[in-house]
Amino acid sequence: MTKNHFKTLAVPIIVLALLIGMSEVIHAQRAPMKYGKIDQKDLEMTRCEADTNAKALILGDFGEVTYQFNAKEDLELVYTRHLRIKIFDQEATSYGDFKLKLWRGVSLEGEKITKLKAVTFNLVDGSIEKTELDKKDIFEERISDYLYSANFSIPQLKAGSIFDLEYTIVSDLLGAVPDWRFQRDIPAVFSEYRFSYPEFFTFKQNMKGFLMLDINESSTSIGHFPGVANSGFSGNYVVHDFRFRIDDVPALKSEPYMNHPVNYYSGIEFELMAYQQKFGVYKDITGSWEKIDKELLSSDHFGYALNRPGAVKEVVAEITAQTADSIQMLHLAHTWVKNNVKWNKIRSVYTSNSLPKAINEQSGNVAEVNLLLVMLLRELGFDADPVISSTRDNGIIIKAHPMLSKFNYVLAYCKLGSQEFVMDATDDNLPFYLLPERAINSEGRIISKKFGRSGFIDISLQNQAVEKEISQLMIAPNGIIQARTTLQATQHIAAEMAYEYNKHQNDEAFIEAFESEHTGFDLIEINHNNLKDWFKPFEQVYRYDIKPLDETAEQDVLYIQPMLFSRLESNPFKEEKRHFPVDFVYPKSHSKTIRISLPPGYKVEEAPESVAFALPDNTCVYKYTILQSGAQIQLSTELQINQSFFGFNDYELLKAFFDQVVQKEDEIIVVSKL
Amino acid sequence: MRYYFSVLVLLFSANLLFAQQIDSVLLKNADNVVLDKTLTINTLKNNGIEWIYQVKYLLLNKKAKDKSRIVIPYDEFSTAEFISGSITYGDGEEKKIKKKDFNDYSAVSGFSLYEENRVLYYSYEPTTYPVIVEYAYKITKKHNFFTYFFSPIEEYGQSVLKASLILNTAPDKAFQIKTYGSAEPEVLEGEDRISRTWKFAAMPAIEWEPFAVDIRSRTSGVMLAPVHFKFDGYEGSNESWASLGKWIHLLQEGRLELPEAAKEDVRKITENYPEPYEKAKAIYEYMQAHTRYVSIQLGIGGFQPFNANTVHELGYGDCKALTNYTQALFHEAGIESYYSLVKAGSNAYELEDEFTANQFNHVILCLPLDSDTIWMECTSQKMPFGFLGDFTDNRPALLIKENGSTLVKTPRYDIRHNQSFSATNLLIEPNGNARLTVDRLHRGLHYDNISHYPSLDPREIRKQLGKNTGWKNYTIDQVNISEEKSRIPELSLSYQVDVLALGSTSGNRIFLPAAPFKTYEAAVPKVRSRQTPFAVYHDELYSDTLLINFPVGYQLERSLEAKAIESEFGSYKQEIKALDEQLIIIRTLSLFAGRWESSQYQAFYEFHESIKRNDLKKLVFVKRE
Repeated sequence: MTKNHFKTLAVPIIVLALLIGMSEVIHAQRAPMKYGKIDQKDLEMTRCEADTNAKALILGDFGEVTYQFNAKEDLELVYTRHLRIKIFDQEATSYGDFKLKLWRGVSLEGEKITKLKAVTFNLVDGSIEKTELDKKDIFEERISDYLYSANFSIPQLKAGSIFDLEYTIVSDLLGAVPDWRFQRDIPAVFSEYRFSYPEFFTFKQNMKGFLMLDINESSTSIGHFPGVANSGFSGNYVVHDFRFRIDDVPALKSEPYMNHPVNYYSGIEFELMAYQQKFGVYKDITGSWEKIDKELLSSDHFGYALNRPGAVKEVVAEITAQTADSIQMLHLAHTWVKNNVKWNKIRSVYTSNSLPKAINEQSGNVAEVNLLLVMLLRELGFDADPVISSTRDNGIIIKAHPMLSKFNYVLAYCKLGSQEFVMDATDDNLPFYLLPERAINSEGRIISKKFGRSGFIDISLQNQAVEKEISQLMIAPNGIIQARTTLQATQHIAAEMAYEYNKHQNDEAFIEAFESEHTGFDLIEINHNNLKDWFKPFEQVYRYDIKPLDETAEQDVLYIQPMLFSRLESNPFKEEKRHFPVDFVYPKSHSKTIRISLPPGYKVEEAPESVAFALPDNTCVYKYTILQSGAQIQLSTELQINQSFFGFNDYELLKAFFDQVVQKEDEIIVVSKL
Repeated sequence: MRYYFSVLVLLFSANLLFAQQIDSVLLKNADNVVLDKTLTINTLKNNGIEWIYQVKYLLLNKKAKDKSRIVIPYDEFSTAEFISGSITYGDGEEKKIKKKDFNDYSAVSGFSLYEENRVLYYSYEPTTYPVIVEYAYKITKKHNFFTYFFSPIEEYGQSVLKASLILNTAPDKAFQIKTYGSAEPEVLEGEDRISRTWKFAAMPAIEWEPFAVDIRSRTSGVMLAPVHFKFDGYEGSNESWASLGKWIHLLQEGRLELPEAAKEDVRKITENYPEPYEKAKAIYEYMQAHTRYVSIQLGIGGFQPFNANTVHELGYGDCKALTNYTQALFHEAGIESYYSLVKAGSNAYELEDEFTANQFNHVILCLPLDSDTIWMECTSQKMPFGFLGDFTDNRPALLIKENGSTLVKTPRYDIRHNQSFSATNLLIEPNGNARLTVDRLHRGLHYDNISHYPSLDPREIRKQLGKNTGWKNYTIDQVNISEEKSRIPELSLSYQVDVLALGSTSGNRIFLPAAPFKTYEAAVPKVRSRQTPFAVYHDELYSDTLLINFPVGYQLERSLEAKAIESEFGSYKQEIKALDEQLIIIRTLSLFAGRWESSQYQAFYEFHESIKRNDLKKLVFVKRE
C-alpha cells in the first residue's frame, strides 16, 4: 500500500464514529469454544441423545474468515477453523483422518497453513489424558502441480475420545472464501461461521439447505491500514462482520429419488462480486446478471472463443452437402461434435483451450465441446447462443443471487422458428434434443449479444418420457406360455434401453443376461428397430416361452400372473418419513397392453377388477382396465408421473399411491376347465 | 484431417486391419489386440534394475479406451522416463505424444497419510476406432527387490499377436523363474551378460465368465524375481522361504520396543488371566480398542513396519505396524507370536509354493499355542479374536522367524463353520398382508458377511433386511441383534416384519410365495457355451424353517411337495409337514467347494436354477364355501 490510497478513502467521519460504537459489541463476541478446554461430561457421554445411532458427534464446528495485512503490507485472507468431535464408536475414528487441500502456484503465494494443532482427550481411570498431534506426523502430499494436501491422523482416537483441531490457512486468493457447511453426515451440537470483510470488497451471500439459522447477525467494525494504526481516521476502513450459527444440527442422510445431497445440505457461500482495486479504481466483477453476461461475452475463454469459425469450415461443407433439412442439420452437427471432440469429464464455464485446439486434441471440457457446437450451428446459419448452467450435483441456480461461480456447465441453445432446443454434445448415448441427467436442473442462462436474448431458460425436462409395452400371451393347458412382447420407448427411457442393450457384446450375450434375470423364460428371438434412429421411438421385440414352475401335464385350474414380462414389483418408497423432496428428474409414462389367449375349453373363474386412481391434480395417475370376451382377455395399465418434483408434504400420498400400484400389478387371474 | 463420416471409417478400418493381417481368431471376443509388446529387464551395477517397456495396441472399440492411457509408476527409489509414443488413426495420420503431455500425480487412492508412490500419467480418449496406440518408457530402480509376473495377455477381452520378455543379467545375478504355459526361453550366453528371451505369439482373447478361476492359471506367462537382492542397504535372498523370512525379520528387528505405559497396560490387562489364550485375547482386544488402520508407505516402509512404541503413541498404523505392535504386546506378556506374510484377497487362494519370493501383500499375526494355532487380523477394530474371514483364510502364510521361516496354512472354514439358520412364523390376512416373525443365526464366513450389522443405523438395517426379498413394501420392528465373538463367531438376529400384500389376491384366493424369506440366494447366471473352468471356494450350509398359519376362513387349494436334489455342487432338500391349519416347510441347502471343468457349468447352472424355480412356487388358499 502506498500513501495515495488513503486519499481516496472518503467515508464520513461521523458515520465511522457511530460504527465504532457498534463494533465494540460484535468484537466482544468471544469464540464459541476454547481450544483444549473440554467438559469432562462430554468425555463421559456414551451416546448422542438426539441421534442415538450417531457414531460420532461434532461438539462444535467454528470457522472464521477475516482479511488482514501481512508484514509486506499485502492483504491476505485468513481462514481459521476449530473443530471438536466426540467419538462414540471405534469405527468412527476415521473422522480423525484429514486431508487439507491447498492450492498453490495459481497465484503468487497460494494457500499456506500457518497454524495446525490438535489434541485428543481420553478418560483413563477417571482422569483426562491428553495426546497432542506431533508436527512430524503431518505429511505433505503433492496431488498435482497446483494442488497439495496436508495429511494427518489425530492420534490416540478410540471410542469415547474427544479431539480438538484448530488450523489457520492464509491465502492471497482474496476471492476464494471457503464455503461453510453447517450440516455433515454426523450430527453437530452447533456450527458457527463468521465472516468479516473490508469495505472495499463487495460480497454476495448465498444460503442453502432446509435448516433455519439460529443466529444471523451483521454489524460493522473498524480496520486499520498497516503503519498508521494510531495516526488518525484516515488510516481506517469499515469492516462488515457477519455471524451465522445453527444449533443441534441433524445428520444428513440420503434417500431414493433424491437429487444429489449437495443440493440439500445447509450451508453458506460468499462470492466476491467487486473490489476497489488498490482502493482507488472500483472494479465490479459480477454484481448483476447483466454484468455476468458482459463479463462472459468479452472473455477470451467464452464469448471471444467463438470467433474461430475457420475451424469448422470443412464440416459445414460436409453437412450442407448432405441435407438442407434444419432438424437433420441439428442432428448432424450434434453428432459431429459428439464423435470428434470427446468430453474430458471436466466441467467448467470457461474453455481452457481454444476451439481449434480442442478439435485437434479430439478432447475438451464441457465449455469447449458445447461452444464448438454453438459455433458450428451458427456457421450452419442457425440462431444459436451458449447457455451457462449448473449440474444437478452442483446445486440449483438461485436467480436472486447472481453468482458466476455457481455455474459449472455450458450448453448450446438454438432457436428454430418457434421451437427452442437446448443441446449438449457430451453424451454419446443421447440424441441432440435430450440433455443428460446431470445437466437437467431447473434453469440455465442464455448468454447472448442479441438485445433482450440473454436470460433464463428452463432446462428441466418437461416432455414426458414414454414407455409402452404390448404383450401377447398364448396359454397352453399344461401352463406353458408362448409370448411376444413389443417395447417402445422415447427420450431417456429409450436411451437407457439402448445403452443397456449395447452393453452386451451381441444378441447371445443379451439373451443370456435376460434369461438369468427372468427365471423360466426361454428367449427365442430379439429384434430391435430404430436403435440409432433418434427420430423414431426405440423398439424392441421379444419372442419367448415361459415354462410353468410345476412341470406337469394338463391342469384343471391355471393361475396366471398377467404382467409376466415386467411390472412394478416393489414400492421405491419404503421409509415411513421423508426428509428431502422426491425428484423423478423428468415426467414419465409407462403403459402396457397385454392380450391373453386362454386354451380352448377354459373359462375365467376369477379376475382382478378394473380400477383407476390418482393423486390430487393428477400429478400421478394409475389405470388398470381388464376386458374379457370368450377365450380372450385384454389388460391395459397406465402409470403416469406427470410432475418430476414432489415436496416432502406429498410423501405420504406418493407412498400410498405406489403401494396400491404394486399390489394391483401382482393380482392373478384364475382360469378353469369348463 | 479427420472429418470423415461413418462410411469412410469402415473403409479405413478395413485397410488398417488388412495391413496388420490379423487372424480372425484373434479378433473374436477382443476389444483390443497387443500387436507387439516387449519388456526388457536389465540388471545394473549396485543392484539396480532397468526396465524398458514398449507396447503397441490396436484398439478395436470403445471398451478398449483405457488402453490409450499411459501410466508410468515410480517412487523415491526409482526414476521414470517417457521415451516416445504415438497415436495412429484409421486414415494413417499419426499424432506424436510428447513428454509435456504427461501429468505427475500421487498414485494414492483413498485415504493414505503418506505414500511416495507416484505416476506419470497421460490420458487420451480416441474418438474413432480402430486406432493404434504405441509407446515406450523406462524405469530405473535403485534396488532389485521385486517379483514380477509378465503376462502377454493383461486382461479379459485382449488378444496378443506378439509379445516378448527379455531378461539381460550379469552372470552373477541369478533369477528365480517360473514359466506358465508352453513358453521356454532362448538363451544367449555372453561373457558379461546372459540374455534370456521368451516369445509369445497368437494368443486369442479370453472372455470373462462368472465363477471364473484366476486368469493366470489359464494363460501363458513368466514370473521372475532376483535370487539375491538389496534394498536401501538391507541385503537379502530368495533362495528359500527361510532366507526371504530372514530378510523380513531383519527389517523388523529392534522394532518391538514398547514404552513403559504400554508395558504397564499389558501387565494390568493380563494379570487376572492364567492361560496364554485368555491373555492373548485380552491383549488383542486392547490393541483393537486403542488403534486404527491408516495406510502409510514411507521409505522402505512398503516392507518395514513402524516401531511398536510409535504405534502406541499415535494409536494408528498400517498392517505391518499394527501386527508388529500386537506382537510386541504379546512379547511383553511372555507370549511368542509370529509376524506372517500372506497374499490377501477373497479369491487369492493360490500361491506358488516352489517360487520362493515375495508373493505377498498383507501381514497377519500367528500365535501357536500348545493345543491350537490362533491367527489374527490386526487391522480390524471389530474382528473376533482368532477369526480371519475370507480375506486371508485357507492359504499359505509365511511365518517370519530369524531362522527357519516356513509356509503354514491359515485355517479353512468348512461346512461345519459356514452356516445360516432361520425360523420364521408367518401369519397372513385375507387381504394378503402378512406378519413374519424371524429368528436367524449366521456362523463362520456367513457371520463375516453381516458382521457390520450391529454398527448400522436401524434405518439401514431395515433396508438391508428387505433386500432381495421381493417384498412390495414393509415395516420392520423389534430388531434384536447379538454377537458371539468367538473363534467361529455367530450373529443372531430376530425381528418382526409386516409385509404389504405378501400374498397376491384374486377374489376368493390368496397366492402366497412359499419362500417369502430365506437365508440364501442362488445367483448363478446362464452361460450358453462355457469356455473356461469355474470354482467355488467355500463349503456352506443353509437351513430355513417356515411355519405358515392359514388365513382364517381359508383352506389350502394347492400345496407343495417334498423335494430332494443331489449333485456334486451341493444338495437341496425341501420337507413339508401338514398340520391342522398350519404348514411347516423346511429347506436345507448345502453347497460344496470345488473346481470344475467348463463342460460341467450347465449342470451347475441347472442345479441352482431348479432350486430357484422351486423357491418361486406359491401356495394357493381359497375361501371356504
